Amino acid sequence: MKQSISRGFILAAGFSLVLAGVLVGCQRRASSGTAGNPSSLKGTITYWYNQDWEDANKQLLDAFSKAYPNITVNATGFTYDTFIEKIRAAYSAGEESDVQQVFGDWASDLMKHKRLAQVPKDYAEQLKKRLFDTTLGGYTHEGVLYGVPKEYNIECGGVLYYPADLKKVGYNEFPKTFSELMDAAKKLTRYDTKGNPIHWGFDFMTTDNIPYLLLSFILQQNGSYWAADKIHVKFTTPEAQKALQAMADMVLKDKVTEIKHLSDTNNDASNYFFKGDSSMCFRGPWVIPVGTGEFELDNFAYGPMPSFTGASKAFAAESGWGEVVSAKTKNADSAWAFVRFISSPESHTLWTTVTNTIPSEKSVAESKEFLQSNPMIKVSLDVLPYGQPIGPLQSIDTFKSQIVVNNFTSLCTGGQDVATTLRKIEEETNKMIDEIRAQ
Amino acid sequence: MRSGMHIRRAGIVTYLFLAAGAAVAMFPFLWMILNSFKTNKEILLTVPPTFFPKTFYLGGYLKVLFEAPFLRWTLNSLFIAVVTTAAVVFSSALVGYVYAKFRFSGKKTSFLIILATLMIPFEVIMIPEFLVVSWLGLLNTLSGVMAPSLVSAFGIFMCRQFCESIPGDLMDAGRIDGASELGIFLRIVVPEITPAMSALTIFNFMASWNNYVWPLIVINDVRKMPVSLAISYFNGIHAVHPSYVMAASVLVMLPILIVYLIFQRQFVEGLALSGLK
Amino acid sequence: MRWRDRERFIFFSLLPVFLLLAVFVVLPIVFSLVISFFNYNPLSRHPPFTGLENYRNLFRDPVFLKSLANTFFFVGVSVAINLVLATLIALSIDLVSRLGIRNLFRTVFFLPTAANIAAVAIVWSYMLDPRFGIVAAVLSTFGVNVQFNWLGDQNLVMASIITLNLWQDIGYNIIIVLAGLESIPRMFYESALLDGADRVRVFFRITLPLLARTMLFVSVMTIISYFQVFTPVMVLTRGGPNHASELIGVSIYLNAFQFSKLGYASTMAVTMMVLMMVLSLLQMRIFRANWEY
Repeated sequence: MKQSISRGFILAAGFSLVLAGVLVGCQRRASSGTAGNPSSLKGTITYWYNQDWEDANKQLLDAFSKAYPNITVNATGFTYDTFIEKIRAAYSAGEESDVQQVFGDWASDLMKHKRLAQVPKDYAEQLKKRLFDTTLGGYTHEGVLYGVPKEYNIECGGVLYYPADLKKVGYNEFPKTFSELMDAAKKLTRYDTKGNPIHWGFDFMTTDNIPYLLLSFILQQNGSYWAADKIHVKFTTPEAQKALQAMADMVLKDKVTEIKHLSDTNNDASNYFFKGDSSMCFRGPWVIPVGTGEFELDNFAYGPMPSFTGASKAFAAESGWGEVVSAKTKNADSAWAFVRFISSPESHTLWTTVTNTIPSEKSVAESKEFLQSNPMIKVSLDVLPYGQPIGPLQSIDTFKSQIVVNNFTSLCTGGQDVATTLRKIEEETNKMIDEIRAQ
Repeated sequence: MRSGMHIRRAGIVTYLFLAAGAAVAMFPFLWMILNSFKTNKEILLTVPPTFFPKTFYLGGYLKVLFEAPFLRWTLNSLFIAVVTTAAVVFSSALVGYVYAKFRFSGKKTSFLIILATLMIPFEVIMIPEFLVVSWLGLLNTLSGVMAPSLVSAFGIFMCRQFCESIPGDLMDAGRIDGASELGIFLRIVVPEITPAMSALTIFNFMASWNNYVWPLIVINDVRKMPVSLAISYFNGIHAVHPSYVMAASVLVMLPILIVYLIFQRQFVEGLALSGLK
Repeated sequence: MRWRDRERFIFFSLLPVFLLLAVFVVLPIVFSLVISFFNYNPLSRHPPFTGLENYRNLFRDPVFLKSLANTFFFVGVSVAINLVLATLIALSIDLVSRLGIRNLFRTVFFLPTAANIAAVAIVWSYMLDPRFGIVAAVLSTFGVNVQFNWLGDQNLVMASIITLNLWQDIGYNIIIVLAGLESIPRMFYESALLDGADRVRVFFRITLPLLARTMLFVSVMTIISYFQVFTPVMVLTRGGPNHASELIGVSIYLNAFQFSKLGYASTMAVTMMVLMMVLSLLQMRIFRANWEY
């Protein structure tokens, strides 16, 4: 057995050495980034991006490699469904790439646990002037900017509709007031023999639009969903009551839509619209290319969502897609040179045009050329100045899909009343906020 | 000399029942194959849904084969599947044999622990496992993808069942002849449990081929990814491309079906015997 | 000398496997057990220790309790249907005397199992589309004009998931039971025929008892497997609508990755693991009692 013991010992010792070596080798240093001279900067950086934006990203990468020939960017695209898991796993093991293209809310966790590099001060100052405040919210932590948004992620403000349908019920233009909107919706809905709506006048059943509709209705009454301490939420307010009641009425009283198709993971509400199941659909502008592209339709338009009160057009928005840099990057100079390049006004114009998203950059949003590339989004562009950041609501995803949507479903199918729903939303959200703050 | 209940022969009712069942089993396949030749628009928009494609559309297949590094992915998957399956089959046979035929301290406890590992869902151990693989410096390598799958508790369990029924005399005879323990294993035991090993081969190959999430988390380079990625590769956050998904699904399934048809008889025998022992 | 050879053989056969299992499976499981006592975020450097609070919250959590109820319902119904249907189909195939057709049926029923479950789920989601799906089309040709929302209706979604899962999985059990049937010696049936027994009696008095061991093996494996079902639900409904189709495996995933509550997800997983261990041990006890019989 002596032979086996010594063999075993060698195995164990070797294993520990390897482990130790790997751990020691994982030391990294951070450094600040400055705008460098293109030809002087060299090195390799890794970049992970969302595959949905493959075309746009590739074009920017090509342009970058021409401008900075000595920097190599190893770029990999990932499909959306596992991208968040991948980023979380990578950061938790310290194995993240130098630069990632993330969706706004993903950054909040990373910032809080000090995994991201701060945007260099001079650039941050520029960005605060160039970009919409609303877009910077999700990338800001305790007043410091940690990322650069490309996109203004807007879920409110616009409604897909079929002009032909509206004409049939007497509306030659898109309804201008909320009551007109509901009137048109009621006239356009068709029912089956049991009284269930099978063609919906006004649809908003998605995990994004239900919460955002609620928040915008509250904000448009000059209300707020924050408590006095600005950390916890308060939904048991008269404004929230009025807002949620209006939404419940749409489903239960006026029956202009129904909630079952909400859980269809293969078909977004906009898909139902494009298939002809609704006449009007409240959805963000990014679905427009799906209609003109995949569905090859040319008979729909995008109209401005009327104000709930007639006065304010306020709405909340979470931050959209943008770039962040890891705090552990060994190549900070090159990384920031890359990020600066792909977030220049020209890059932003190119990117948002190709991806059909709304730019975070004020000058681009206001430019005539941008509007020409996609005239249907004029509605969204007009409403951009009225947006506000959704605020430190961690995690936004849980808030939307778990808390608001589930409670709304209980409201619509389970007989839960409006007041209880609001109270539960408030309690569950505050509980979630406390739990995450403790981490 | 046939056994079984067919002393009465199958009547028309039985055949109808089986035919109906077979139709239900095959229909979604046919549907998938037919859909893979339709355009996205046709799948998404036609009511009532068409069975045969209105226009024969190869775009789905072309897109999957040429816009994604499909061949590379297939080779990756093949490499991963072959290596892990070989490791699993060999290690399971060996360890199963040891548990079946030898006595040693801690045998019962260690076996219970091995069984218990079957009862934890993968999502839970995914992040800790990722941390382990990263500590070992195996991230972004095919080795990192394969490492957790080189041994299988299920395989060990199954081989143990088989080895238990091998008569001890066979092995004692080998020992008397002066063969080494390893020699006995390779020359006496392995031939006895070939059906089990075939079954385990197909089973493990299938599981490895269809594995999706773990490789995605471990690997950073698109060209190192497995072919199971192809199915969701062209679905965006918002855009759905059913034509590409169907085409990819058909292409990804083909190798498994081929392997199954080749190993079919041994697989079936192996499963049969595993159920009885 | 031989003692040494044998000991060495055992040691070196087991060592690499134990090492791999220890590092890649047992270690992560222990890690999960540990973090179930924390409010754990993998990014956090100082996760707060919460002791048994996760467990206390778990048993008061209506979503978890609903998920648990769903899972028990799912497993109970699926396993029951699976066993009955698999046996019926196996019996039917067993009646077929021509070997070629037998094998054909055997293959046909096994094919769904060979497919990628995610791809299968996607195909089924198209088939189940309330308006554009093939199921809706078939129903309307039979004159049924009510639109069934197979995946969006809380009352229907579980049935849809059970059906899909059974379709994909039943082939495995069909083949095992069929093989069990094929090994029953002919003479049992011949003597029963001589005694004048009819088919039903033959089945209950002869076939079933001799099939007992097979059936038990099949039911244990199926139960363990069905407790962990995850992919079809994730692809089709993500647990919706409003948790109606949420199974434990899905709850764990959502808590771990969507809600960043890895500690809580681990709590669920540990609880589930203990549950399955108890169930398996119970089944093995019952089996040992029947084995004598």
